[in-house]
Amino acid sequence: MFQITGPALSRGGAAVLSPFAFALSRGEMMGVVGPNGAGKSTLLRAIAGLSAEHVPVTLDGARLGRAAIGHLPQAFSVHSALSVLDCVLLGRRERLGLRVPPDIIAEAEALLAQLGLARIADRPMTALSGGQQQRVLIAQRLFRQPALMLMDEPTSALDLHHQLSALSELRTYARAAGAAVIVALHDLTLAARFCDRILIVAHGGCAQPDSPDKVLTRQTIEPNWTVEPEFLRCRDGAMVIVPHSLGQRHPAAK
Amino acid sequence: MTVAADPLARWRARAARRGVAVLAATLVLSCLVLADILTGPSGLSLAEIWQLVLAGPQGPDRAGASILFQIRLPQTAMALIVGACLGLAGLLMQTILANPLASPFTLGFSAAAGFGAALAILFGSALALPVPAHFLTPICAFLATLAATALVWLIGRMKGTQPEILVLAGIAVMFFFQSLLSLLQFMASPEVLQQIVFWLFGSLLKANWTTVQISGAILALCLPFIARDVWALTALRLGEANAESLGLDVAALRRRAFLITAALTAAAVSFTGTIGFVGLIAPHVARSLVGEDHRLALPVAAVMGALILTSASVVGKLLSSGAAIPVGIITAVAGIPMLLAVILRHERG
Ligand SMILES: Nc1ncnc2c1ncn2[C@@H]1O[C@H](COP(=O)(O)OP(=O)(O)OP(=O)(O)O)[C@@H](O)[C@H]1O
Ligand SMILES: [Mg+2]
Repeated sequence: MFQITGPALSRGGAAVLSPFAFALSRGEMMGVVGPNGAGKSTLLRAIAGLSAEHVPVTLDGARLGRAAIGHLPQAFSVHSALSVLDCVLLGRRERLGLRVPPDIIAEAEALLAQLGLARIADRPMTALSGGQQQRVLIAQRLFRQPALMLMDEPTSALDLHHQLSALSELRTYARAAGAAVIVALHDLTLAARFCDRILIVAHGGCAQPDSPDKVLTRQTIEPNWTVEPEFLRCRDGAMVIVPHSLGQRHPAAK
Repeated sequence: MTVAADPLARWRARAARRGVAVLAATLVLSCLVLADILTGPSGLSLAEIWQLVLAGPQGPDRAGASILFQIRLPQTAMALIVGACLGLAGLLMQTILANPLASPFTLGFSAAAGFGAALAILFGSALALPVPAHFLTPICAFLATLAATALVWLIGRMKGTQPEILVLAGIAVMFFFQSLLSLLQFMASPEVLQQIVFWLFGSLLKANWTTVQISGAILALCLPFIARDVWALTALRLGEANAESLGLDVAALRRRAFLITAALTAAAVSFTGTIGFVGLIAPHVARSLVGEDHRLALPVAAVMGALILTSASVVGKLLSSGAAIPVGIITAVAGIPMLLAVILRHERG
């Protein structure tokens, strides 16, 4: 069981989130959703230990160090000519010496093959498209094998196929490694489909996470996103949320 | 052109090619070292040099032995050490500041060293310090370099050691020390001015075994600290946000690398004077040869720095039959086209 307890968070001197506490079980994938500027990235950064506020994370009562927490920032663009494979190897930079053992390279190659990136393994990062870069950075964080993985909009640049494959890889990783994955998403349908529970961040606070169909309702979506949701069921019974404009300006746009 | 079908095979092939590039650069450097030992105004032939080497420093040919063991060898050794220091310092700076134009020269460290040296030359004799004059100048240059580093760091720290702020602070510090240096030159008598100007031309003529030992010891002390951070430095190439998210304490890495850069630069310029462009160009050449993996880029930057300085030394001796043209002048003159080539290549790539 992961336990995350944090104080009030602020960014650039302004209060963003009130104190929060929630728990995750091993193998769980939790979605974080909320409108722009609500504090999703602030929350993930704080849990990753990248903010001034200290957010203790424990796993089964023991403190989880920073090395056991993986984080993928929302702004990911890379201006380096390092090759894709080198980039993935950097996921384990703390464990690499002056010589990289062949089995680690083989492991990275296998991961690239699994994620459909083997074809571009030798390309420099600067020669990749935005979506390809994002996929490589997801691979890098998976290679890191953290106990707690924090992904800030990992599908923002991905095509439809890779949105599904990236989220399913993350969920598979959580299940297989007994890790927990927290993923910030804007697509509520994807969040409902892949996440075991969902946490809404809005109006300066986080709600308690709960299952998608309990959390994603007309009562939560309409006031927070200022859209009218239409709920459909797709052929496997999963929830599809179609937003309709309310015909009024977003409150944040005032 | 045949292209290996398998990207992983291509990746391995490239890793192997990079190893070859390192070996080739080292080989070229060895040849240059030999050439440097063989050239000089006294016109010793290869056979004579060989005789002198066999006879050793205490050999019967006193004049020859002293030319080889007291002049040429320390100068060559100094070229290697100074070049390596500047190459390493340049690459470290460019990486931690994410700026391809950063170098000990462009950030004012060398200007500060010149100021320190001028200060010592101008006022040293008046102070009657218990330090021999030929040591006071390098000591002052060394301290001034460290002071400039501290100044850049303190200014940068006000804004959370952001790279752009550090670069701006470095440029400001460079102009500051250059102006102070001009002031000292203005105040100096013609004889003293000549001494100052001679110091400012970075030259290997000042080398002897003591300076080689001191600079070499500083370089050797820095190496393990650099080696410890190779992967962290490579990770920083992915950008600060990514590196931080990989658990890297970027501010601490910058602080460590900055301190090492200061020590390396001070070790390099204190005993030789201002040598520009080596610290700027060697890292570019290294990256274009072996990429951004700092396990290779750092040693190659050191080798390239040494290579550039040794060539400058050979060229300086060949161009002038009497006193060799100081390496600082050669690297500055040759450095400008090299810098342009690097920039234009960068634009295309
Ligand atoms: N670097 C910063 N300096 C100052 N304020 C910031 C900074 N980054 C974010 N903020 C503010 O903090 C608040 C929360 O931002 P955050 O990035 O956490 O939102 P978010 O939920 O991730 O939004 P998005 O969906 O756009 O990614 C916003 O009001 C934003 O304006
Ligand atoms: Mg965000």
